[in-house]
Amino acid sequence: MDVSQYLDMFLDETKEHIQNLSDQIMRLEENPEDADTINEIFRAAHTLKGMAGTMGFTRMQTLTHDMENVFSEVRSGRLKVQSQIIDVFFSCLDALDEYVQNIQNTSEEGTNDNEDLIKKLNDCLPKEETAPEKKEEKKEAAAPKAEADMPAENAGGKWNELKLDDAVISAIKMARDDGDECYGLNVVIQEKCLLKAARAFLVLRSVGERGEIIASNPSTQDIEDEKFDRDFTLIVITDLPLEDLLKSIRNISEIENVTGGVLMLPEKAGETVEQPAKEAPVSAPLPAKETESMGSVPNAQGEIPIAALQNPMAQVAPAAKEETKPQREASTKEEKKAVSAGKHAGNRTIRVDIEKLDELMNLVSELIIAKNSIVSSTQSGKVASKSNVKDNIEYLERVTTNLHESVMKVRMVPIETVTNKFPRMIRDIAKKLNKKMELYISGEETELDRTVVDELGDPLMHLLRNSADHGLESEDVRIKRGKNPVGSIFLDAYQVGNSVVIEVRDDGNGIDIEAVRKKAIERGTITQEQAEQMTDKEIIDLLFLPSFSTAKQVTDVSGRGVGLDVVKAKIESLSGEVEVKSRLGEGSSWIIRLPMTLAIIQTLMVGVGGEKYAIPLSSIQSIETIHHGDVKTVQNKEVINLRGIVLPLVRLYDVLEVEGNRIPEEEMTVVVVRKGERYAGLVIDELIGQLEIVIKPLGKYSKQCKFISGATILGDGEVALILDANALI
Amino acid sequence: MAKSVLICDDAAFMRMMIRDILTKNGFVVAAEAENGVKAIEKYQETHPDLVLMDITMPEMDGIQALKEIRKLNPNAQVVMCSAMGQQAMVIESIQAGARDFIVKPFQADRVIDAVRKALE
Repeated sequence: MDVSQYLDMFLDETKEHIQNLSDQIMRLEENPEDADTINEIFRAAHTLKGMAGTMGFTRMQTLTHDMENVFSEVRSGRLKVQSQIIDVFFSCLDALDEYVQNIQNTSEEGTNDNEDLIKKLNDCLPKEETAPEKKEEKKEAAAPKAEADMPAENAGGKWNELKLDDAVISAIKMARDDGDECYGLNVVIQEKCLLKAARAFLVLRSVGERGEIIASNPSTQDIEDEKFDRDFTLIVITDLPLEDLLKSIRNISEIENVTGGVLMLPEKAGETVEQPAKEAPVSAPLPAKETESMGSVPNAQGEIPIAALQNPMAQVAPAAKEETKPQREASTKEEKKAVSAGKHAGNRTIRVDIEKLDELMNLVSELIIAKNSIVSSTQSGKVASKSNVKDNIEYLERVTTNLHESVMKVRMVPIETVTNKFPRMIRDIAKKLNKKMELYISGEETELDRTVVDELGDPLMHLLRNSADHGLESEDVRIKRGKNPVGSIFLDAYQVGNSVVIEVRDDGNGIDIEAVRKKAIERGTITQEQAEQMTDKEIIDLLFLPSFSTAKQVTDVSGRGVGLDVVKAKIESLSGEVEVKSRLGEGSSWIIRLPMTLAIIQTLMVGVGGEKYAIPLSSIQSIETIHHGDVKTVQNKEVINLRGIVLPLVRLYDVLEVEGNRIPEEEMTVVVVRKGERYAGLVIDELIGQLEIVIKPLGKYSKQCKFISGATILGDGEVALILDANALI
Repeated sequence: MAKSVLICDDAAFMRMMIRDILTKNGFVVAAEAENGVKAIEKYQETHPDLVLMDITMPEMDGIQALKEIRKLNPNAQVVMCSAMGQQAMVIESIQAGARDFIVKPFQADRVIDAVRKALE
């Protein structure tokens, strides 16, 4: 079966399940007895196994199968959850992640069998139970096999060889006297059938509905316990014709063959019942049979032994391997093709609530209606009434605005998709650093554009690591300082206007500004004089310079020199900004501001030197009219004092090198923009108005001018550049 | 008329696969359900000719849902989807009236075979 078309979905859902497992195991660590959590873990592992098996990822299947086994034991209460199991499980999750990564990149699960993990998992299982059972199981499996080979040759009359006790024989006779018939049936189950007992049970039920099973080989109990190889024999009394019985069994799946015939009693005539001489040989084998079944009873009770679970797995694995082999060969042959297939595997899908799509559909149909009414109102022969057209345009505007909103909503995903892996990460870091810490996440339902959310994982992870490693003090230092020995890290996300703020906060040491200052001088990043002039804020900003790490010791967790500069670059590439607030001894907080969406923004259109420019509304604080006389010069820079805040004046025509209105006027229009807590006034020629624009990237050309973040096409076809207010400050 | 089947599995991926297998072979998917509770709801809504029921599901497992559905309609045809190692549960569901069972990982022909036989 070609399963490649399901790969995307498989990956998506597998990731979800792995995440769920991770969450649940975290929960279990705190609450090792919680039955709901244990059930959930079992279920998730089980589902993963089924999915991996279906896709032919046998290694992943084996691993999840063993995980499921362990939790099956936990669930039944035979195994207690210990930290060792939790650790093994987390390692398993990492291994699963690796499989998923491999599958995503190459459509193959890779060749790592993770034998050590599987061994560890098996070590978790209660030993005294599994070991002997395994042996027994093997013996038993071997025994009936030899038995079954023989009768297969003369399967025709197998039922006639069955030794019957006299109660059965007399029952058969009585039935025959009543006009019913007694048949023997031999049922062979297909070799590839996986749950033979259940299959046989279906046969028993089907036959039982049509007659009475008075004897069988092996016993019905043994059949239900899967103590048979591939075939079993039934003796049935029924008033239905044999053909009915055969047909009902043939209609059951996975039955290879069924034969049947009228049962021949050992004595052709019926008078043997009272003959005492015959009693001895008939009853003689009986005790033997009883002891045989007695011997297996303890094993048969309760649940299916683990070994039995593992056995069918072992059989399936090689079969599945063979199946995927030709596929693999093909892929090595056409390696280039495989690479492109791998790329396909990396295609991103997004799951959309059907309601959102319905809404979209609805809006699109409204759009069509709007188009139609415009067409009809301007059709030749009709005099288009101006107000009618205007009405229609207003309607069209409403529809497109809604449409825009809906499409954006479709693209939005909650940041949960990245934040949900953090608790696990903090747990690991805490273990590694031997610090106690707790992560509190709020606002994980806050939605952002999918592309933004995808990119957000790394920077956030870095900030969290930074807080855990550099921010939080060690336990004894915290106790000395009178703080809670358990450190807290907060990740809060919330929406402010058209942007989303994500704050990573800790109650640790905060940034030691003097240490940073010293370090910067040591490194030659700044001179002594510069250092003295710089404000605390500017010093903190030094942290974002490439390769600036103040950690006294480079640890595994963070502080390898690549860091905050990468965070900053990443966030800025998403049109966002990072800001730090810190209080020595009390902790620091890193604030990330991101636009909710990247594609369409609200802007203020302004004119400078006859050109039109768009300034994103999100960065505009106010628009002011300034008298020429109010402009002061400080350190050779023009500034204005606006309600107590001194802000630098940026003459856009100078920056953009265009012909501007350079003749000093009495009054000028200034757009005050804001970046974090810094402001600047942009001097423009004219205000045009507010406009919603679609951002088009300028590609490599825009790199030459850092004040331009993109361009847009206006309604009249004219191109307007979008000013990057952040770069101007 | 094409026979309709209700697919019940907690993994959307599994449902999609089964859906494809069924539709390619001329069956109609009456509805999909991701847990036992939904399965019962959808059963009452759509009255399918057959139900394909996963055993391990959240909210309400397949066996419970099977029992409920058989209560609603004693002639309901339900085929269980199980995984290896669930023999005991499969037997329990057969006792509860399941028509047949298929074992994951699925083979398309096995699914179709079981569905055809159950609908005969």
